[in-house]
Amino acid sequence: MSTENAVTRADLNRAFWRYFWSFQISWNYERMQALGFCYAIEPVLRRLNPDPADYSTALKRHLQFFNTSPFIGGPLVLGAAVAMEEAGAKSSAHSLKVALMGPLAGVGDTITFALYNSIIFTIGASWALQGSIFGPIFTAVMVLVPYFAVRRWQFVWAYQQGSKLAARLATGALTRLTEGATVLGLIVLGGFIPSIVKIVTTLTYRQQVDVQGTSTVQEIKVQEQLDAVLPFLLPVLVTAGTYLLIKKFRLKLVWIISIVAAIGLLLGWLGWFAPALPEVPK
Amino acid sequence: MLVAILLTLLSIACIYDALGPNLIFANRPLIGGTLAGLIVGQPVLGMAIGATLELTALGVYTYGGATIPDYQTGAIVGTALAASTTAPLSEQVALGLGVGLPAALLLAALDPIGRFLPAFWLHRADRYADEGNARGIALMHWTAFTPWAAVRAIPTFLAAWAASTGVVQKITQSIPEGFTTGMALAGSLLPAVGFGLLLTVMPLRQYWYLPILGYVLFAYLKVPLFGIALFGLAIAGMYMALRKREETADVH
Repeated sequence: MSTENAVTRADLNRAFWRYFWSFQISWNYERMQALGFCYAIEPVLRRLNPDPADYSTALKRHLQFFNTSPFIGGPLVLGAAVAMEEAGAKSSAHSLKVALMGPLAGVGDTITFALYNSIIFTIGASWALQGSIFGPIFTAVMVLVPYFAVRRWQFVWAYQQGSKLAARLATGALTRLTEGATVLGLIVLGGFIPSIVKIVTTLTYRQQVDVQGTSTVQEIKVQEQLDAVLPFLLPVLVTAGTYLLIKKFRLKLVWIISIVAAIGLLLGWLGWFAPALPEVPK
Repeated sequence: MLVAILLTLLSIACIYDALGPNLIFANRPLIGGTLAGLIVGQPVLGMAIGATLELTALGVYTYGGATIPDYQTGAIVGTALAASTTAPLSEQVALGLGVGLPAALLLAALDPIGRFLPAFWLHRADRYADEGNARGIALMHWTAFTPWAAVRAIPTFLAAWAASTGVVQKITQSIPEGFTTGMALAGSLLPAVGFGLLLTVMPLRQYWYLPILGYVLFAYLKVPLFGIALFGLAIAGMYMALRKREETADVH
């Protein structure tokens, strides 16, 4: 390959920024992120294919089905594909995309959405509910900075690794990261469930008690009895219930949300349960 | 009318951020609601509705292109309608949730349209690729966003416009007290759905003891959420270091 066809720094940056500002805006069921990927890598293809026929073939090659995590995966595959196109390994550029997109989609979605975002947004929303403007500001900053850095770094790193990328990914670092994130996520979930899911019962019952021979009727709060068994018993039970609905009965999410909302509305309306017990004036 | 147009633009900006740069994850109801609150001049209300909806949407993300409730548009619509009333904040939030949550669920029915239609733009791009026309491809890519934006912008505009006519104010006067307390409980129960969903995607069988750690920290030791997250980070770091040592030991 002649040197005048080498990818310039400007080409690389254009590819990255095109990915960054618009990767999924043309997402569709048919080929998902294909058009976004083709658009991002186009400046590189133009540089490498002075012949119009080659250029057209290259464009069509990158218009094939593609879908992966836009955060951990997208920039990685883009960087590596640029490097392989530059090395003239056209068919491996395509097979690399196919090989990496599935596994990276799974790892990427789990780390970014299920773990990192869930933690950040739970903390942010709970601060916001206390009336603190730092809630949304916290989430905005915690999203803006790390997600930009991780995407830029991945793209540059994958471009430098090129054909060695697949081998480097197999060393287990990615698996370790996923497992570490899972450990963090599960610990945090254990704390989030009792603090975010709020339900107490306002039900009471009357009981006859003998105090020094005289029998009196005492009102017993059911919630106090439950707290004696296990603190936050009801939130834990409700979460276990939704877990079972999703896992065992495989109901659609929209239905589960509707069911829980309807039950909450009903129980709250009846006044048997509430998010918290009313403050007792001292 | 100006407010309705600004809210419509916000709904477009939110979905653009989600598909494009993801600068601040504007498609999360916490952000969408807060921004809508700023537009209608009641930031505290927008933030409260957004945060309530956010907690009902925890862990609910678009995995692999699946349709989920359209929470951000729900937050914008809920904030717009609640802001047009003159009730106390707790009633406004209950109304915002009462409108925003069903709106989010119903709008999920429109989402597949937005995901299906750009395929026509894609086919046009195929032809431009044949011709080697990069400008045509760029144009198709950027304009394929239109269906995505339209399925959110149109309902938002209609709702915001309805809010400006004062219709909602009349409805709220007839809202029974039970609805307010009921929606408050529904809002505080819904996070359980997101947590249930997260538990199903994680290897709970293998690590069943880890959530107990977090539970004990909160329920018995009263550690705040941020403290639990830091504790989890430390344990995760230790775990990864141990795994690395194990793996390098295997090699030798």
